[in-house]
Amino acid sequence: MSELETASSLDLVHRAREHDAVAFSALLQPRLAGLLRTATAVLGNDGDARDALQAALTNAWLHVGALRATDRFDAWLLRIVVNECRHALRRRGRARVREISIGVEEEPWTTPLVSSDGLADSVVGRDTFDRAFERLGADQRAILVLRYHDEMAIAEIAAVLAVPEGTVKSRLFAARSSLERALEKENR
Amino acid sequence: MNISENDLHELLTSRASRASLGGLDELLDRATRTSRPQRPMRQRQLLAASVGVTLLASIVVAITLLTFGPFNPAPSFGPGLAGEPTSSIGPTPSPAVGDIQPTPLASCPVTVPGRWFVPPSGYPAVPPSLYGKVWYGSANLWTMLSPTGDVWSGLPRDAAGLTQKTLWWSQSFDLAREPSPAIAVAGTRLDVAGPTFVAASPGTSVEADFGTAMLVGVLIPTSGCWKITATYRGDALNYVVWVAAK
Repeated sequence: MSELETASSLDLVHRAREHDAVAFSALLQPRLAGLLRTATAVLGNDGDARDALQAALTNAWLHVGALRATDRFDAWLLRIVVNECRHALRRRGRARVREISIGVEEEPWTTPLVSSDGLADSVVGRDTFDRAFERLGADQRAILVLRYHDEMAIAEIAAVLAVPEGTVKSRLFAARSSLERALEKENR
Repeated sequence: MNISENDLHELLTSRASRASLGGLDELLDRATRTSRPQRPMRQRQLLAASVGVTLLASIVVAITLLTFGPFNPAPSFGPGLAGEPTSSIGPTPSPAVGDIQPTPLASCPVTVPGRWFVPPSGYPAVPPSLYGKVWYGSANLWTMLSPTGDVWSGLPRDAAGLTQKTLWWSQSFDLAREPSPAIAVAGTRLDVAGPTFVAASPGTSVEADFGTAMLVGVLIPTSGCWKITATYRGDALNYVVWVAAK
Protein backbone atom coordinates (compact mmCIF):
# COMPACT_ATOMS: atom_id res chain seq x y z
CA MET A 1 0.00 0.00 0.00
CA SER A 2 1.49 3.35 -1.03
CA GLU A 3 2.10 6.24 1.30
CA LEU A 4 -0.66 8.20 -0.42
CA GLU A 5 -3.19 5.45 0.10
CA THR A 6 -2.58 5.43 3.80
CA ALA A 7 -2.47 9.20 4.21
CA SER A 8 -5.61 10.70 5.73
CA SER A 9 -7.55 13.43 3.98
CA LEU A 10 -6.25 15.91 6.51
CA ASP A 11 -2.64 14.91 5.78
CA LEU A 12 -3.31 15.36 2.09
CA VAL A 13 -4.88 18.78 2.66
CA HIS A 14 -1.78 19.85 4.59
CA ARG A 15 0.48 18.60 1.84
CA ALA A 16 -1.64 20.21 -0.87
CA ARG A 17 -1.32 23.50 0.97
CA GLU A 18 2.44 23.15 0.56
CA HIS A 19 2.06 23.00 -3.24
CA ASP A 20 2.21 19.21 -3.42
CA ALA A 21 0.40 18.45 -6.69
CA VAL A 22 0.42 14.69 -6.11
CA ALA A 23 -1.28 15.09 -2.74
CA PHE A 24 -3.77 17.55 -4.24
CA SER A 25 -4.64 15.06 -6.98
CA ALA A 26 -4.95 12.19 -4.50
CA LEU A 27 -7.24 14.33 -2.39
CA LEU A 28 -9.44 15.40 -5.29
CA GLN A 29 -9.68 12.22 -7.33
CA PRO A 30 -12.31 10.44 -5.20
CA ARG A 31 -14.38 13.61 -5.08
CA LEU A 32 -14.46 14.47 -8.78
CA ALA A 33 -17.43 12.36 -9.86
CA GLY A 34 -19.61 13.71 -7.05
CA LEU A 35 -18.62 17.28 -7.78
CA LEU A 36 -19.35 16.85 -11.48
CA ARG A 37 -22.78 15.39 -10.72
CA THR A 38 -23.55 18.33 -8.43
CA ALA A 39 -22.47 20.84 -11.07
CA THR A 40 -24.48 18.99 -13.73
CA ALA A 41 -27.58 19.03 -11.56
CA VAL A 42 -27.20 22.80 -11.14
CA LEU A 43 -26.32 23.62 -14.75
CA GLY A 44 -28.28 20.93 -16.58
CA ASN A 45 -25.63 19.72 -19.00
CA ASP A 46 -22.31 17.96 -18.92
CA GLY A 47 -20.37 20.49 -21.00
CA ASP A 48 -21.09 23.49 -18.81
CA ALA A 49 -20.61 21.39 -15.69
CA ARG A 50 -17.18 20.23 -16.86
CA ASP A 51 -16.12 23.78 -17.57
CA ALA A 52 -17.32 24.89 -14.14
CA LEU A 53 -15.53 21.98 -12.50
CA GLN A 54 -12.35 22.71 -14.45
CA ALA A 55 -12.42 26.32 -13.31
CA ALA A 56 -13.18 25.23 -9.74
CA LEU A 57 -10.30 22.77 -9.67
CA THR A 58 -7.94 25.39 -11.03
CA ASN A 59 -9.07 27.90 -8.43
CA ALA A 60 -8.81 25.31 -5.68
CA TRP A 61 -5.26 24.47 -6.74
CA LEU A 62 -4.33 28.15 -6.91
CA HIS A 63 -5.78 28.99 -3.52
CA VAL A 64 -5.51 25.86 -1.40
CA GLY A 65 -2.35 27.32 0.13
CA ALA A 66 -4.49 29.99 1.78
CA LEU A 67 -7.00 27.51 3.25
CA ARG A 68 -6.90 27.86 7.02
CA ALA A 69 -9.72 25.62 8.22
CA THR A 70 -8.18 22.47 6.83
CA ASP A 71 -10.87 20.32 8.46
CA ARG A 72 -13.45 22.07 6.28
CA PHE A 73 -11.81 21.27 2.99
CA ASP A 74 -14.92 19.65 1.51
CA ALA A 75 -17.16 22.60 2.31
CA TRP A 76 -14.53 24.96 0.91
CA LEU A 77 -14.20 22.93 -2.28
CA LEU A 78 -17.94 22.65 -2.81
CA ARG A 79 -18.28 26.39 -2.29
CA ILE A 80 -15.82 26.97 -5.12
CA VAL A 81 -17.78 24.61 -7.38
CA VAL A 82 -21.04 26.39 -6.55
CA ASN A 83 -19.42 29.75 -7.26
CA GLU A 84 -18.19 28.53 -10.62
CA CYS A 85 -21.69 27.28 -11.45
CA ARG A 86 -22.97 30.73 -10.57
CA HIS A 87 -20.42 32.33 -12.91
CA ALA A 88 -21.32 29.86 -15.65
CA LEU A 89 -24.99 30.76 -15.44
CA ARG A 90 -24.15 34.43 -15.46
CA ARG A 91 -22.09 33.95 -18.59
CA ARG A 92 -24.79 31.85 -20.22
CA GLY A 93 -26.95 34.93 -20.27
CA ARG A 94 -28.89 36.81 -17.70
CA ALA A 95 -31.90 36.88 -19.96
CA ARG A 96 -32.35 33.16 -19.64
CA VAL A 97 -32.26 33.19 -15.84
CA ARG A 98 -35.29 34.61 -14.17
CA GLU A 99 -35.49 34.91 -10.42
CA ILE A 100 -39.00 34.50 -9.08
CA SER A 101 -39.41 36.59 -5.98
CA ILE A 102 -41.48 35.22 -3.16
CA GLY A 103 -42.17 36.21 0.42
CA VAL A 104 -40.63 34.14 3.18
CA GLU A 105 -42.89 32.87 5.94
CA GLU A 106 -41.89 32.29 9.53
CA GLU A 107 -40.11 28.97 10.08
CA PRO A 108 -41.15 27.87 6.64
CA TRP A 109 -38.72 24.96 6.44
CA THR A 110 -40.98 22.97 8.70
CA THR A 111 -43.74 23.00 6.08
CA PRO A 112 -43.99 19.48 4.66
CA LEU A 113 -43.92 19.12 0.93
CA VAL A 114 -47.17 17.74 -0.38
CA SER A 115 -46.82 14.97 -2.90
CA SER A 116 -46.93 16.06 -6.50
CA ASP A 117 -48.75 14.25 -9.24
CA GLY A 118 -45.97 11.87 -10.23
CA LEU A 119 -43.73 14.43 -11.90
CA ALA A 120 -40.72 12.15 -11.72
CA ASP A 121 -42.55 9.21 -13.26
CA SER A 122 -42.80 10.41 -16.84
CA VAL A 123 -40.58 11.90 -19.50
CA VAL A 124 -42.99 14.80 -19.88
CA GLY A 125 -42.90 15.38 -16.14
CA ARG A 126 -39.11 15.40 -16.07
CA ASP A 127 -39.04 17.81 -19.01
CA THR A 128 -41.51 20.10 -17.28
CA PHE A 129 -39.38 19.98 -14.15
CA ASP A 130 -36.27 20.78 -16.17
CA ARG A 131 -37.81 23.84 -17.76
CA ALA A 132 -39.11 25.02 -14.43
CA PHE A 133 -35.73 24.47 -12.79
CA GLU A 134 -34.05 26.46 -15.56
CA ARG A 135 -36.20 29.42 -14.53
CA LEU A 136 -34.46 29.58 -11.17
CA GLY A 137 -31.39 31.64 -10.42
CA ALA A 138 -28.05 30.11 -9.58
CA ASP A 139 -28.38 30.44 -5.82
CA GLN A 140 -31.77 28.77 -5.73
CA ARG A 141 -30.66 25.96 -7.97
CA ALA A 142 -27.57 25.39 -5.83
CA ILE A 143 -29.38 25.24 -2.53
CA LEU A 144 -31.97 22.80 -3.89
CA VAL A 145 -29.26 20.59 -5.33
CA LEU A 146 -27.23 20.58 -2.12
CA ARG A 147 -30.27 19.69 -0.08
CA TYR A 148 -32.23 17.30 -2.28
CA HIS A 149 -29.57 15.84 -4.55
CA ASP A 150 -26.49 15.80 -2.32
CA GLU A 151 -28.79 15.24 0.70
CA MET A 152 -26.77 17.57 2.89
CA ALA A 153 -27.89 18.65 6.34
CA ILE A 154 -28.81 22.30 6.94
CA ALA A 155 -25.60 22.79 8.95
CA GLU A 156 -23.51 21.37 6.14
CA ILE A 157 -25.15 23.63 3.56
CA ALA A 158 -24.56 26.57 5.86
CA ALA A 159 -20.86 25.70 5.92
CA VAL A 160 -20.71 25.44 2.14
CA LEU A 161 -22.52 28.70 1.49
CA ALA A 162 -20.89 30.45 4.46
CA VAL A 163 -24.23 31.69 5.80
CA PRO A 164 -26.12 31.06 9.08
CA GLU A 165 -28.36 28.00 9.30
CA GLY A 166 -31.45 30.18 9.56
CA THR A 167 -30.56 31.80 6.26
CA VAL A 168 -30.22 28.38 4.67
CA LYS A 169 -33.68 27.43 5.90
CA SER A 170 -35.34 30.55 4.58
CA ARG A 171 -33.49 30.38 1.27
CA LEU A 172 -34.43 26.76 0.93
CA PHE A 173 -38.06 27.51 1.43
CA ALA A 174 -37.92 30.41 -1.01
CA ALA A 175 -36.22 28.20 -3.58
CA ARG A 176 -38.80 25.46 -3.18
CA SER A 177 -41.63 27.95 -3.48
CA SER A 178 -40.05 29.49 -6.58
CA LEU A 179 -39.71 26.08 -8.12
CA GLU A 180 -43.33 25.25 -7.42
CA ARG A 181 -44.45 28.54 -8.94
CA ALA A 182 -42.25 27.88 -11.94
CA LEU A 183 -43.83 24.44 -12.31
CA GLU A 184 -47.27 26.03 -12.26
CA LYS A 185 -46.19 28.39 -15.04
CA GLU A 186 -44.82 25.54 -17.09
CA ASN A 187 -48.04 23.59 -16.67
CA ARG A 188 -50.25 26.41 -17.90
CA MET B 1 -48.05 22.91 -7.65
CA ASN B 2 -46.37 21.06 -4.84
CA ILE B 3 -43.57 18.63 -5.27
CA SER B 4 -42.49 15.93 -2.85
CA GLU B 5 -38.98 15.62 -1.47
CA ASN B 6 -38.71 12.18 -3.04
CA ASP B 7 -39.66 13.50 -6.46
CA LEU B 8 -37.27 16.39 -6.06
CA HIS B 9 -34.46 13.99 -5.24
CA GLU B 10 -35.31 11.77 -8.17
CA LEU B 11 -35.65 14.64 -10.65
CA LEU B 12 -32.38 16.25 -9.59
CA THR B 13 -30.63 12.90 -9.73
CA SER B 14 -31.96 12.53 -13.26
CA ARG B 15 -30.44 15.92 -14.17
CA ALA B 16 -27.15 14.97 -12.51
CA SER B 17 -27.03 11.69 -14.45
CA ARG B 18 -26.28 13.67 -17.60
CA ALA B 19 -22.73 13.94 -16.28
CA SER B 20 -20.29 11.91 -18.28
CA LEU B 21 -17.72 10.67 -15.81
CA GLY B 22 -14.89 9.90 -18.24
CA GLY B 23 -11.75 12.02 -18.48
CA LEU B 24 -12.00 13.57 -15.04
CA ASP B 25 -8.31 12.99 -14.35
CA GLU B 26 -7.57 15.22 -17.30
CA LEU B 27 -9.40 18.10 -15.60
CA LEU B 28 -7.30 17.55 -12.52
CA ASP B 29 -4.12 17.41 -14.54
CA ARG B 30 -4.95 20.67 -16.28
CA ALA B 31 -5.67 22.34 -12.96
CA THR B 32 -2.40 21.35 -11.32
CA ARG B 33 -0.46 22.43 -14.39
CA THR B 34 -1.65 25.99 -13.81
CA SER B 35 1.06 28.03 -12.15
CA ARG B 36 0.35 29.33 -8.73
CA PRO B 37 0.86 33.04 -8.31
CA GLN B 38 4.01 33.94 -6.44
CA ARG B 39 3.51 34.67 -2.78
CA PRO B 40 3.61 38.41 -2.13
CA MET B 41 7.07 39.61 -1.18
CA ARG B 42 7.69 42.17 1.47
CA GLN B 43 8.81 45.64 0.42
CA ARG B 44 12.40 45.07 1.49
CA GLN B 45 12.62 41.75 -0.32
CA LEU B 46 11.21 43.39 -3.45
CA LEU B 47 13.81 46.16 -3.28
CA ALA B 48 16.63 43.67 -2.78
CA ALA B 49 15.37 41.54 -5.65
CA SER B 50 15.07 44.48 -8.03
CA VAL B 51 18.57 45.73 -7.16
CA GLY B 52 19.94 42.23 -7.73
CA VAL B 53 18.20 41.85 -11.09
CA THR B 54 19.38 45.28 -12.23
CA LEU B 55 22.99 44.51 -11.28
CA LEU B 56 22.87 41.13 -12.99
CA ALA B 57 21.33 42.61 -16.13
CA SER B 58 24.01 45.33 -16.25
CA ILE B 59 26.78 42.75 -15.99
CA VAL B 60 25.25 40.60 -18.74
CA VAL B 61 24.82 43.60 -21.06
CA ALA B 62 28.40 44.76 -20.43
CA ILE B 63 29.85 41.33 -21.14
CA THR B 64 27.73 40.97 -24.29
CA LEU B 65 28.80 44.35 -25.62
CA LEU B 66 32.47 43.66 -24.90
CA THR B 67 32.31 40.27 -26.56
CA PHE B 68 30.09 40.84 -29.58
CA GLY B 69 29.78 44.59 -29.94
CA PRO B 70 26.41 46.36 -30.42
CA PHE B 71 23.56 44.01 -31.37
CA ASN B 72 20.34 44.31 -33.29
CA PRO B 73 17.16 43.51 -31.44
CA ALA B 74 15.89 40.02 -32.26
CA PRO B 75 12.21 39.20 -32.38
CA SER B 76 10.89 38.63 -28.89
CA PHE B 77 8.51 35.82 -28.04
CA GLY B 78 6.08 35.60 -25.18
CA PRO B 79 3.92 38.16 -23.51
CA GLY B 80 5.05 41.66 -24.44
CA LEU B 81 5.29 44.48 -21.93
CA ALA B 82 4.22 48.06 -22.31
CA GLY B 83 6.83 49.91 -24.32
CA GLU B 84 8.45 46.72 -25.63
CA PRO B 85 9.35 47.00 -29.30
CA THR B 86 6.65 45.38 -31.41
CA SER B 87 6.11 44.80 -35.08
CA SER B 88 5.63 47.95 -37.08
CA ILE B 89 1.99 48.74 -37.61
CA GLY B 90 1.47 50.19 -41.02
CA PRO B 91 0.62 49.12 -44.53
CA THR B 92 3.30 46.90 -46.05
CA PRO B 93 3.23 45.42 -49.49
CA SER B 94 2.80 41.65 -49.16
CA PRO B 95 3.55 38.92 -51.63
CA ALA B 96 0.63 36.86 -52.82
CA VAL B 97 -0.14 33.39 -51.56
CA GLY B 98 2.26 30.82 -52.93
CA ASP B 99 5.12 33.27 -53.55
CA ILE B 100 7.10 31.79 -50.69
CA GLN B 101 7.44 28.11 -49.96
CA PRO B 102 6.44 27.19 -46.38
CA THR B 103 9.28 25.84 -44.25
CA PRO B 104 8.91 22.75 -42.06
CA LEU B 105 7.02 23.16 -38.81
CA ALA B 106 10.07 22.12 -36.77
CA SER B 107 11.94 25.26 -37.80
CA CYS B 108 9.21 27.52 -36.39
CA PRO B 109 9.52 28.56 -32.72
CA VAL B 110 5.77 28.20 -32.09
CA THR B 111 4.85 29.69 -28.71
CA VAL B 112 4.09 27.00 -26.16
CA PRO B 113 2.55 28.60 -23.07
CA GLY B 114 4.87 27.52 -20.27
CA ARG B 115 2.94 29.29 -17.54
CA TRP B 116 -0.80 29.41 -17.92
CA PHE B 117 -2.26 32.77 -17.13
CA VAL B 118 -5.25 33.07 -14.79
CA PRO B 119 -7.36 36.09 -15.77
CA PRO B 120 -8.99 38.54 -13.36
CA SER B 121 -12.34 37.66 -11.79
CA GLY B 122 -15.28 37.77 -14.14
CA TYR B 123 -13.55 35.54 -16.67
CA PRO B 124 -13.28 31.75 -16.55
CA ALA B 125 -10.06 30.67 -14.79
CA VAL B 126 -9.38 28.47 -17.80
CA PRO B 127 -11.03 28.69 -21.22
CA PRO B 128 -14.12 26.50 -21.70
CA SER B 129 -12.89 23.00 -22.48
CA LEU B 130 -14.45 22.81 -25.93
CA TYR B 131 -11.74 25.16 -27.21
CA GLY B 132 -8.91 22.96 -25.92
CA LYS B 133 -6.85 26.06 -25.16
CA VAL B 134 -5.23 27.87 -22.24
CA TRP B 135 -4.97 31.53 -21.39
CA TYR B 136 -1.73 33.28 -22.32
CA GLY B 137 -0.59 36.82 -21.55
CA SER B 138 -1.27 39.19 -18.68
CA ALA B 139 -4.26 41.02 -17.23
CA ASN B 140 -3.62 43.94 -19.57
CA LEU B 141 -3.80 41.79 -22.67
CA TRP B 142 -4.28 38.07 -23.06
CA THR B 143 -5.38 35.50 -25.61
CA MET B 144 -6.11 31.77 -25.95
CA LEU B 145 -3.45 29.40 -27.22
CA SER B 146 -3.19 25.69 -27.60
CA PRO B 147 -1.14 24.26 -24.68
CA THR B 148 1.12 22.64 -27.29
CA GLY B 149 1.34 25.71 -29.53
CA ASP B 150 -1.04 27.01 -32.17
CA VAL B 151 -1.13 25.55 -35.66
CA TRP B 152 -3.66 27.23 -37.92
CA SER B 153 -4.83 24.94 -40.69
CA GLY B 154 -7.77 24.87 -43.01
CA LEU B 155 -8.12 28.65 -43.01
CA PRO B 156 -10.48 30.16 -45.57
CA ARG B 157 -8.51 31.40 -48.56
CA ASP B 158 -9.21 34.26 -50.93
CA ALA B 159 -7.17 35.95 -53.65
CA ALA B 160 -5.16 38.01 -51.16
CA GLY B 161 -4.39 35.29 -48.63
CA LEU B 162 -5.73 33.28 -45.71
CA THR B 163 -8.27 34.74 -43.32
CA GLN B 164 -8.40 34.15 -39.61
CA LYS B 165 -10.19 35.64 -36.60
CA THR B 166 -8.07 36.48 -33.57
CA LEU B 167 -9.48 36.96 -30.06
CA TRP B 168 -7.98 39.12 -27.34
CA TRP B 169 -9.02 40.00 -23.81
CA SER B 170 -8.05 42.86 -21.52
CA GLN B 171 -9.14 43.98 -18.10
CA SER B 172 -9.20 47.50 -19.54
CA PHE B 173 -11.69 46.59 -22.24
CA ASP B 174 -15.25 47.65 -21.52
CA LEU B 175 -17.67 46.82 -24.31
CA ALA B 176 -20.22 49.42 -23.19
CA ARG B 177 -17.68 52.21 -23.39
CA GLU B 178 -15.71 50.95 -26.35
CA PRO B 179 -17.87 49.06 -28.83
CA SER B 180 -15.07 49.31 -31.40
CA PRO B 181 -11.93 48.64 -29.38
CA ALA B 182 -8.72 50.41 -30.36
CA ILE B 183 -6.80 47.21 -30.86
CA ALA B 184 -4.46 46.52 -33.75
CA VAL B 185 -2.98 43.20 -34.81
CA ALA B 186 0.09 42.81 -36.96
CA GLY B 187 1.95 39.82 -38.29
CA THR B 188 5.56 39.28 -39.32
CA ARG B 189 6.75 36.17 -41.04
CA LEU B 190 9.78 34.78 -39.24
CA ASP B 191 11.04 32.02 -41.51
CA VAL B 192 11.63 34.27 -44.49
CA ALA B 193 12.23 37.99 -44.72
CA GLY B 194 9.60 40.26 -46.06
CA PRO B 195 5.97 39.37 -45.61
CA THR B 196 3.96 41.23 -43.05
CA PHE B 197 0.32 42.05 -42.55
CA VAL B 198 -1.58 44.49 -40.42
CA ALA B 199 -5.13 44.75 -39.21
CA ALA B 200 -5.42 48.30 -38.01
CA SER B 201 -7.84 49.27 -35.26
CA PRO B 202 -10.64 49.41 -34.49
CA GLY B 203 -11.57 45.81 -33.92
CA THR B 204 -14.95 44.50 -33.00
CA SER B 205 -16.09 42.37 -30.09
CA VAL B 206 -17.75 39.09 -29.24
CA GLU B 207 -19.50 37.85 -26.10
CA ALA B 208 -19.53 34.15 -25.42
CA ASP B 209 -18.85 31.55 -22.76
CA PHE B 210 -15.26 32.83 -22.55
CA GLY B 211 -16.31 36.33 -21.56
CA THR B 212 -16.23 39.49 -23.64
CA ALA B 213 -13.38 39.47 -26.14
CA MET B 214 -12.00 41.83 -28.73
CA LEU B 215 -12.20 40.30 -32.17
CA VAL B 216 -9.82 41.19 -34.96
CA GLY B 217 -9.95 39.59 -38.39
CA VAL B 218 -6.61 39.23 -40.13
CA LEU B 219 -5.59 38.49 -43.71
CA ILE B 220 -2.41 36.42 -43.77
CA PRO B 221 -0.70 36.68 -47.15
CA THR B 222 1.17 33.36 -47.04
CA SER B 223 1.40 30.18 -45.05
CA GLY B 224 4.49 29.79 -42.86
CA CYS B 225 5.81 30.78 -39.46
CA TRP B 226 4.21 33.96 -38.18
CA LYS B 227 4.70 36.19 -35.19
CA ILE B 228 1.34 37.74 -34.31
CA THR B 229 1.40 40.92 -32.24
CA ALA B 230 -1.56 42.75 -30.76
CA THR B 231 -1.32 46.22 -29.28
CA TYR B 232 -3.99 47.70 -27.07
CA ARG B 233 -3.81 50.75 -24.82
CA GLY B 234 0.00 50.75 -24.76
CA ASP B 235 0.37 47.05 -24.09
CA ALA B 236 1.59 44.49 -26.56
CA LEU B 237 1.27 40.73 -26.64
CA ASN B 238 2.82 38.46 -29.20
CA TYR B 239 3.05 34.80 -29.99
CA VAL B 240 4.34 32.62 -32.80
CA VAL B 241 2.02 30.40 -34.79
CA TRP B 242 2.46 27.99 -37.66
CA VAL B 243 0.06 28.79 -40.50
CA ALA B 244 -0.44 25.71 -42.66
CA ALA B 245 -1.01 26.05 -46.40
CA LYS B 246 -4.18 23.92 -46.23
